[in-house]
Amino acid sequence: MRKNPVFLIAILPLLYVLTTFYVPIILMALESLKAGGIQVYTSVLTNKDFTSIILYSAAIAFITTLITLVLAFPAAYYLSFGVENPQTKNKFLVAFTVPMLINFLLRAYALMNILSLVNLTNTIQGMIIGMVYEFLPFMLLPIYSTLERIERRFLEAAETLGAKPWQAVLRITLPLATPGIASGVILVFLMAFTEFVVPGLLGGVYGYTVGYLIWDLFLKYRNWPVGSALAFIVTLTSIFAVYFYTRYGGGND
Amino acid sequence: MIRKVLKIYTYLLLAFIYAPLIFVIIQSFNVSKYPGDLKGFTLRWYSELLLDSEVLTAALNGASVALISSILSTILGGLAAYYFARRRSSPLVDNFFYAPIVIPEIVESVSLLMLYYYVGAELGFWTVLIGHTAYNVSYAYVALKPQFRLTATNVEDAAYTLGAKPFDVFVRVYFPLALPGIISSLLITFSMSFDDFIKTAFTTGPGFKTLPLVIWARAARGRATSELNALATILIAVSLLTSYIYTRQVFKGKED
Amino acid sequence: MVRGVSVRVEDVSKTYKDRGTTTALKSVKLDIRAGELFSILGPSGCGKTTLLRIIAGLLKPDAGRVFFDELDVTDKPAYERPIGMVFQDLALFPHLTVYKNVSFGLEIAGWPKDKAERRVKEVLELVRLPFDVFAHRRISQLSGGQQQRVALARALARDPSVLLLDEPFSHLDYKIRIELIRELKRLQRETGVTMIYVTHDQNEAMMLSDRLAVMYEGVLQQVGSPLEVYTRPANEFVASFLGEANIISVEARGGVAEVKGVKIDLSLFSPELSGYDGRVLLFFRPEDVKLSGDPSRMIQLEAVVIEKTFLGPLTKIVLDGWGDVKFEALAPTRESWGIEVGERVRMYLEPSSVKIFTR
Repeated sequence: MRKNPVFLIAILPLLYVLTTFYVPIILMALESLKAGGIQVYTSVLTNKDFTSIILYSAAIAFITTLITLVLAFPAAYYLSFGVENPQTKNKFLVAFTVPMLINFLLRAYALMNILSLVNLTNTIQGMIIGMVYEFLPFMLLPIYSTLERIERRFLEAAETLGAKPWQAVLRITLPLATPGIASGVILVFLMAFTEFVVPGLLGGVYGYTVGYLIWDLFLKYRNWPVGSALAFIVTLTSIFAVYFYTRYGGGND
Repeated sequence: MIRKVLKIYTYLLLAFIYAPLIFVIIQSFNVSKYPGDLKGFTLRWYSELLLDSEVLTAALNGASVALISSILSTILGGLAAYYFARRRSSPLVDNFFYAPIVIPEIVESVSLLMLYYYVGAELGFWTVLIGHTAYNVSYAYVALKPQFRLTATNVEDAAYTLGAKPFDVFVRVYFPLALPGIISSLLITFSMSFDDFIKTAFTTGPGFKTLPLVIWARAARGRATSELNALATILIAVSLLTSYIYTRQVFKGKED
Repeated sequence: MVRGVSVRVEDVSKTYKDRGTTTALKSVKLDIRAGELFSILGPSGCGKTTLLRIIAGLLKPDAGRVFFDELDVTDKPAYERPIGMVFQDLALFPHLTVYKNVSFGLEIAGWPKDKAERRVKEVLELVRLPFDVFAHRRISQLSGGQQQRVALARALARDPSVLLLDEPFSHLDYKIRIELIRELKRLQRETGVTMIYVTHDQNEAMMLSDRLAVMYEGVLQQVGSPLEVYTRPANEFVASFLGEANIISVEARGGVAEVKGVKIDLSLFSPELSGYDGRVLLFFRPEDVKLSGDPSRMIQLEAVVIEKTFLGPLTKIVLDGWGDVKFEALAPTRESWGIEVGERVRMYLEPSSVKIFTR
């Protein structure tokens, strides 16, 4: 009765996202194969310069993820278990989420001001501080949301069975929080791995990451096949990461 | 006891997150060029901005792209939310629209560049606009989905049983209820587009610059200047506001 | 003054998939009289809500027709039918005040403001919500019971010929539910509108209805007044769905059922059953099992008392009789004082209170 015309209209956004997001990614994969097929991938992966950059980015991402996890978890725990009032919880949530939506560039730039005060610009430490700064909310939210979903009754039950608070946390809360932690870790690692704005602004010489490499390959060296290959590798890793994210954590923004 | 410690810690963390932003804002009014050296209040840096033609053109460029993109993406995202949120379509549809948000921006930017190359498009205003909108549709969808979910139940049927024809239902029931979502969608997509850096950098053509590009070019190698501070402050302030409204909206929808 | 119209459902069939569950209506036939309070009773998933939505015009049947006052409305969508509907979750417009909710249908119909206002006042009065206090309140400020009344008022504002209610009180507290059911009956008497009420709660249905229909798995099991359906259920399902029931399965040969040496002549209950061969179900209600009686004209059962539960004015006694067959009796407490658990007793049944169902 009223189904048909509406469906046609709904097709529009689908088509738009399809052509401007999904199709281009396929094109990118195809482009990478242009210069001689699959070999491009093997050549990229065996090239020492490339792999060292990839490893470097991975190391930076790893350290960033670790630090972010350590910093975010206590706060997420407090928000979920320490705050009783749901409106206060909401306020905190908003407070942590709002900066997330401000462009990385602006936040990195803002941080740069403070870093120059303590002479940390153009250093690795400064870069990592910047990365942690950017990604903190991305780690905090999934962990928080998983912690929220843990039924308080489990902890009460544990209490009636003689478990002391720290035992309950160790044996019940942490294991149940693992999906959230996992998704936060995956998300942050992925973003940190491909990031180049923060390293570029704050890292100086040390800021040459995979992201920056792709940037150069495209806009400086105009080596599109290799650039696409690299980008596609990154895409594949993200798809896997997203798959795990939606399966074990996710469910929010 | 532990709770107190955690509470203080959380507040400290929040302070850590907001401190740089507040710092930049304060710095932009600082007479002294050197951070940490508060000399006095001035609007000098802002007035210098107004005299900078590159900044002004970039601002105009960015604003026009952002305006059109926000309207387009809100309409598209709204249509999608209207249609798909009302039926328990499937997580598949949700994932379809969430993907652009989760995939690293650089991948999107690169692939867009490919697309433009293949179709032989000239890089500039339009290519930037299309790229921004692709990304913004997802944000609009996220902003509007909870709105339509709320009205998904029998409210629509109730209106039918009261004699309202489908068009009436849309105008009298859906639209007013979706209004907050529409507004926040417009705001967030505008600011996302206006602040955007990576996509714009890849898909823009000669001569078409936006403000973030200007900041990047000038702040290269870790040098912050007062004029840039003023610029950044404006962008940050606008961003904070829209982000706040948007986040309130999205979390309100989750409270059910 | 009778304002309602008759509703006739003719051979309506529908297969309907909603969120993974499929309901199927199979050739449903209903004849609802004008001004009647008619309930459709059945367990979840039996199709009663689907049927209601078809009558409302929110759903199109795969086959069959719907008639309002002998006018075929099957092809008319909901907004072209003279109906009012109250939903299970109320579906009040959250962004509108009480006044605007109630006047919604009137606004759509283009009523002039003063006429509409008078009508809103009238109908709010009808549901006992004082206009001055409630008209400009937001929905979120009202209690569950008050919201319910607003939903009723909204549905009645347009002066519908048929009022449809889909389990409207299921989420309310017991006390408020009873109160609202009484209000509903009063409303129906005052307005004379035809009411079709869907529920899974047999007590509600029996309290409210002039007549009711029992539905199961998309098929109408029985239609009749509450008393009829309760005392003379048409089949095993209806018997056990309404009230408590004892249902005992026995094998009959030549019209006689034999259970552990006790012979029961089935023609006692129904002359058609003399000479019957096959499995039959004996059905009787616990309250019909008497502790004393006249053995010459009543059926006598010997049984052992297994359980005795005090329920206030009545006592529930579970007995084991006819060998391994348990059944329940509900007797006045004063009469059951002397009975002990483990005791062997004699219970009596009037033949007319027993029904036989053949499989």
